[in-house]
Amino acid sequence: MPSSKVDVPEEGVYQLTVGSFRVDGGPGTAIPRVMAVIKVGGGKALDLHFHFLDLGDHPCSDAMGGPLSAATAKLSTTFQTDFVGQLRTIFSNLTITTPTYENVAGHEPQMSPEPDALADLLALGAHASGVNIYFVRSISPSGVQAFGPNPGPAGLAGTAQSGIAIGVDTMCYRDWKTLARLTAHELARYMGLYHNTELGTPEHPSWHDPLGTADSANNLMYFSASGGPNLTDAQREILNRSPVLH
Amino acid sequence: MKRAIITAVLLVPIVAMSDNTVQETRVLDALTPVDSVATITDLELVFPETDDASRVLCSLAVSPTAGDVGLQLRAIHALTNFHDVPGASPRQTLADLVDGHRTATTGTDALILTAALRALGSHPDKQHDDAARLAASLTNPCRDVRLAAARALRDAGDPTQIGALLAQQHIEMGPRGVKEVASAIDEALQKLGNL
Repeated sequence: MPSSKVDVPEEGVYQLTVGSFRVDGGPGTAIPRVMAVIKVGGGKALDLHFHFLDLGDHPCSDAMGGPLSAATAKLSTTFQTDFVGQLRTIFSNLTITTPTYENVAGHEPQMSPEPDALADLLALGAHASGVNIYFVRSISPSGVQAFGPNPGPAGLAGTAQSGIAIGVDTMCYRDWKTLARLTAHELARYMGLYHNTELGTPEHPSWHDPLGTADSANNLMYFSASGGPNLTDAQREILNRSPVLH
Repeated sequence: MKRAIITAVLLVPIVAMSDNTVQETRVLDALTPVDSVATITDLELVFPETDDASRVLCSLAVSPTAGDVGLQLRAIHALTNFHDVPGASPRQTLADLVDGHRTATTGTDALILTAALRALGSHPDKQHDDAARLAASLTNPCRDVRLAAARALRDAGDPTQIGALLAQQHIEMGPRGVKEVASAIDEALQKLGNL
């Protein structure tokens, strides 16, 4: 917070007005429960924590250059160059620190988590700083490539939203750089950016984020996998203020 | 031959829509969101006519635009929301996909098989032989396919394949089995009232 470049928070007491809205953009009657995490001043360093579920005998192993695990990813030139490198390119205004690599053992499901099970998985996130990233075989239902909260609970470990999940089955038909774009999209949502446009925006003009309307379809926050890796200066400014950073 | 005829018929709506690139883009966007799959509300937005949705989605599930497998997987999933219309049968399309990819164990073919299994298991218009069609994949060498078959049988709720589930459960609990597939079979058997 805030997800706007016009209000720069300063130390002091704030009174927030929280509301909900209906699908048609009108005011809603729901009373949201909000936890506000406000970082005063910017940050620069982004810690990423890679967690690998059991990806053995994966149908897309060949496309990944062999079985993917904490050990192989750490040593894989392709993973480091095309995936981690592409994340660094997309978030060029930040410094991605050396990621951590861990296998997730003794947790079920290891395979294709259904939506309810994803919350249990993300709750394993033990790192309070940065973002926990879980590589899973696939996400159910078929076609979902990534999952995560918007925004994520920066600075809080062990909650049902403490991380994002990435389905590596996408590697059957995409490459590491494209998977990096999908991961960056989800990371940016975690850090406080919103989809710059939605499928229903033509019918509901209020469904857009004014920070990312320039060259909309090539923006990182375009809701579709066909979007590009670009960020506007205003979006980068919001990312720089994310409490995820240190 | 039958599939060739169905595919030929189903390609017509895409060609007919070629004048409307905005609509085509919306269809593609609806079937490629990063962090969700198209809801029925999304599909109603881009397909005001339900018949068009059935026809176009059947076509994309078999032959996606530019060979985009990601789009194909979502189209397959979306078919669970639609019924037969003149010139298109979502259930038959799913059944054909399962039959046509039955031996797949790796790569995109395995992904298409798992997606088709789950979608057919959830489709409201299942026919009497669909449970056996799903159960045939319980013995697939790929654990992801077996998991999808077990979950599809759970969703299908057809007790005729309890025997096949019990037989595979025995294997999955053995040294060459996968614990999580065994758990999915347990879940299916519970739903079918056998545990």
